[in-house]
Order: sequence, then C-alpha cells, then structure tokens
Amino acid sequence: MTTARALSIGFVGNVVTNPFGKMAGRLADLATVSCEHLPIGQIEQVLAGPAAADVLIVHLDHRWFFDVAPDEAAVARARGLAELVSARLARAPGTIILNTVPFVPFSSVESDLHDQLDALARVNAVLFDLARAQERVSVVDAAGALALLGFANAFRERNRYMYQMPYAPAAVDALNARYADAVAARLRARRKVVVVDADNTLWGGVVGEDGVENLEVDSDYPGIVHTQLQRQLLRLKGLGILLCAVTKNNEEDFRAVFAQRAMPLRLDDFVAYRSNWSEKSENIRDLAATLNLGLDSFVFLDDNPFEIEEVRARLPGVECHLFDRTRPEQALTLLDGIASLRARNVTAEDLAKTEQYRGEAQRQELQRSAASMDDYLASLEIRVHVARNNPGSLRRVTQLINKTNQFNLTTRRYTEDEVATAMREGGVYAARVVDRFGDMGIVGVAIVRGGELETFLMSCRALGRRIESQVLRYVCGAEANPALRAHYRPSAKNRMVETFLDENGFALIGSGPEGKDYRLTRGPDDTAYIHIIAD
Amino acid sequence: MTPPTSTSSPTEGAAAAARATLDRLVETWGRPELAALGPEDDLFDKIDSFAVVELLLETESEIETVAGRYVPLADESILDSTRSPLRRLQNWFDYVAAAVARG
Repeated sequence: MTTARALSIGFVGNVVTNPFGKMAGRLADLATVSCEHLPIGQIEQVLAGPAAADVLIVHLDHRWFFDVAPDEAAVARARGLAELVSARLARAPGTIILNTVPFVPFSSVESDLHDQLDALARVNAVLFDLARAQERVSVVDAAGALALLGFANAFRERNRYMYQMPYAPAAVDALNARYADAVAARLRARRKVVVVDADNTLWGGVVGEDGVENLEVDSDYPGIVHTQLQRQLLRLKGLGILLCAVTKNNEEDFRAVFAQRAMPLRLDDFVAYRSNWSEKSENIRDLAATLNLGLDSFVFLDDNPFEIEEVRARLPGVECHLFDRTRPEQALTLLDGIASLRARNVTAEDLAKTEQYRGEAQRQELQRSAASMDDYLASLEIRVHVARNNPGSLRRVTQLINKTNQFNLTTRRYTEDEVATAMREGGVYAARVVDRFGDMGIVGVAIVRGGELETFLMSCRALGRRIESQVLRYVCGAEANPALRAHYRPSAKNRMVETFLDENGFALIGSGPEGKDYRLTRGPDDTAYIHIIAD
Repeated sequence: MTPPTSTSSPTEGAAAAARATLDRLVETWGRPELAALGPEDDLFDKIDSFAVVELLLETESEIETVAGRYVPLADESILDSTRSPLRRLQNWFDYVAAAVARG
C-alpha cells in the first residue's frame, strides 16, 4: 500500500477563486490535496508574504493588467508581476501557476486594435519568458481553454462586475482541467514511448495484401488522416517522445513502405520496431527490454480493437488507445489528448533521447556479438566530458539530482538555486558521456564542498561500463584533497551503491543508522578504455 | 422536489432546476445539513458569499440546460443581507422562476 503524497494548493486572484478548488478532484489519483483560498485581490501581498502552499495558483483576468484596453502600462504591470514571482521563488519553495490573459480586444480604429493585440501578446510573452527562466513557474493557457468553449459561452460579464466571477461553470471546468494538468505534469512521470501499429494506422490499407503502391497515405482523404497522424508523431518525437512500431507483417514489406513511399516519417524516426507475426504484447515487451524501459513508459496506438484488448489484458501497464481512421475528428486529436505524454518542459537532454535510446539498442546488439565484456567495453570508445561549475548545465544537473534514486550515494535533493550556490561555494561536476553510438548527454553529477563529496550519482542508463569509477577518479584528482570525505546514506532505493566507496579506494571511518562515512585513500583505479576530457 | 417533466411549466421547471442545483452543491460543499432546509428556511446566513456566487453560477448553468437559453440571475439584491431572496429558500426558487419567466 502506498501513501498518497500530500499537496497543498493556494489560490489567489482578482476573481473569486473558490470554484477552482474543484481541480483537487482531478488530482485524486496523484495526491491528497488541500486547498486554501487567499483573500481576493491580494496578489502582491500574497506573493510578497510567506509561502504557505506547495503550489500557488494566481488567477488573473484582464482587469488586473488593464482597465479597458491592453497597452504599454499593461506590459509593465506584467513585468512587475514577473519580478514579484521571481523574488518569491528566490526566497521560498513551491511552484507558481499563472495564466494567459483571456481577452478579445475591440476598437473602432483598426490600427488601435492592432496595437492592443500586440500589447496583449506582449503581456503573455512576459509570462512565457518568466516560465522559461523559472523552472517552478507554469503558465496555463486560460485564453485558449476559454476560446475552445467560445468566449460568449465562457464569460458571464454581469457576474464579472457584480460578483468578481466572470466565468460560467463550463469555463471553470475547462480552467480546472488546465490547472490539474499543469500540476499533474509535475507530479507524474511522463510516458516516454509511443508504439504505433502500421496497417490502417500509419497508413491506410494492409501492405501485405494491397501492395505498397496502393496504401493510403497522401494529401487526399482518407490518406490525409494517416499523413497527419505521421506528422503528429514526428512532432511528438521532436518533443522528446520515442517512437516504436509493432506490426503483423513480413519485415521486408514493412520496410518497403518506407523505402518506396514519400511520407512524413522515415524508418529511422523509430528507435526500434518489430515487424513479425508474434502477438503485439510480446513485441512490446521485447521493445521494453531492448530500450531498458518499464512498460509503464509505453503508449500503444492501433486501429484494431482486438489488438488493443490483447495488449491491455496482457500488459496492463501499457496505456492503449484506439486509432479510428473512420473518425478523423477524434483520431487526429487523440495524441494531443493523452495526459501522460504531457510535460512541463522538454530539456535538450530529452530531445536527444531518441538518439540515446537508439544507441542503447545498438549497444545491446554489439554486446551480444562481442567475445568478452572487456572487448565490448573497449569497442564502445567511451569518452567522458567533465565540466566543473558550468552554469549552462544547471537545469539538467538539478533534474538529474532530483530524479536519480538508485546510483546515488546520498540521495540529497537540491533546487536549482542550491546547485548554483554549490557552484559558488565548491565544485559541481557534470559528466557527459559519448561513445561510438552517440551522445548520452549529462548522466553523472558530483558535488564537492568543504572537503566533502556531498553528492555522487549516475543515471542508470550509463551504468555497467565502469564510467562511475572513472568519473570519481577524475573528481578526486581535480579536488586534490587527500583527506576528501564521502558518505553513503541509505535510502529505500540506493542499495546498489552501498559498497561503491569501499570498492573505489575510500576507507570506512565510521558508521551508524544514518549511513557510513569514508575518507579518501588511494581512490579508484584507472579504467584505461574510458577517456576523460575536461571541458 | 419533483424533477421537471415535459408537462411542467417553464417556471416550475426553473424552480426545480434551482432546487436540484442546490442539492448538488450541498454534496459538493460537504454540508449535508443544508439538504434538510425547508422552503421557509434561511440559506443566506448558512453559506458564505463565495458559496452564494457559486450557487448563482451553477443555477444559471442548470437553467441554461433546462430552458435552452442563458438567463442572467445576478442582481444586487442577492448578496444584500436584508433583501436577498436567499433569506427564504422558497423566495430563491420563486426568484429563479420569475427570472426565467421574464426571459
């Protein structure tokens, strides 16, 4: 039995925020949520005051930024808001959620209307810039959510002025969905892989029966439905999602479609595929093993309800969706509607992930064919680029620190600000691994401060190649402190590093319920086939 | 209260919709004691102003579903402690029915 995490959400705005409290129900499977509605209109006071909630939702309608028409003063007001939010984040924990401004300008003068539209866009741009700069800020698209309903249906202008509540219940529901998504994206691990069927999904028709030339995948209906799906998948790939295919076809037929038809997706857009006559659940399980990912990282799309049920029954962790090509209005909104593919942002590391996982699949092939483990490791041509105190790696380093559980000596978590402080007060080392199959990105972090190795961790995907020992060896050398201290702090998940320091030239100097303390002796042995490059 | 039927008049339907909305919100608010209020009872003193606004919005939405058109219910009397129709529950249902009848 697991204990749901407790999450406190505070609301403040220039409208009555109480109806937004219903968003808590949408998060019930992720957290036990408590809500507090702070005094209406007290935005500056709340932002300047003490932090009282894990998440603070600041809901502002246009009247907070301007009275009648968006203008330069409204942009300045937005900048002031951004400064207040940044100041709060600098001194207090928690996340702040803002919203785009739902407003449609009108003017009897066309050029004035253009100026208003421009100013409104710049107000929103200030908020987007803030979210880009501050990991702990989200901006929900309230304007978009209400536009989908139709502003005429969403707004109740009489209620806006009489009761400070401008939204119809349907609009409140739409906004609550956006708020819940924004919070959930921070609580829930994003699924990483979309596995897609081929016949009647990637293209219309069955390649083995209809032939490559007769498949429907072009710019006319119904082929346009499949072309659009491919474009959407390609866009998802650009947003860090891995694409795989499973299809009941002869492999040469499947490959022939990509070789002979001009389509948005190319075969190498897929990190892996299985084209054979096995059950799809079997193939998806195999893909998970190849990519070293859990089945709960997978989303599966197929046009055939039987296949959907087969996978759903045998692999309950996989999220399955029916792609109904006969209902394009639904089929082509399917991917955008999958909540588990949403994320707060996509880092450069996320974007490089496709190549990294493809590389991992190739490494597995090489390992199977190598004569020995040493031959295999040597053939990888591993290079580790180590950067010390590089502010450019701050976001990725913080992300890695906060999500690495297994190969993590102390499981100490840091905010971005705390990592930046560690850079000023000591050494924050970021290790980026490259081998003949690609760039794995930053996969290791060490933090040394006050003669102490505070943090040492490595992403699981880089393990099994002795990279961790070589990085530790480099850090010990760079610190040049013969009395360097280090610690192992046990957690529920880091047993794998319990003896790491013992095995890498550190001497045990004490132990207790909180873990074990070490001092550097000779340090890790050199691993000749791993080359360290100081960046 | 009997739900609106095809033979109900528009005003009866509106009053029933107002009652149904209140019953639903009573559950949402976790205030089961409010479900026992009778037509002569005072609701105004038992809920805060935010709940009044929520009741108004939800009732407007329910009326829109029942009547097929948006009927604004907001009025400066609603939050007025002396004049509010919520001072007597039946007055509130009558107020909603009258608003629908006016169109």
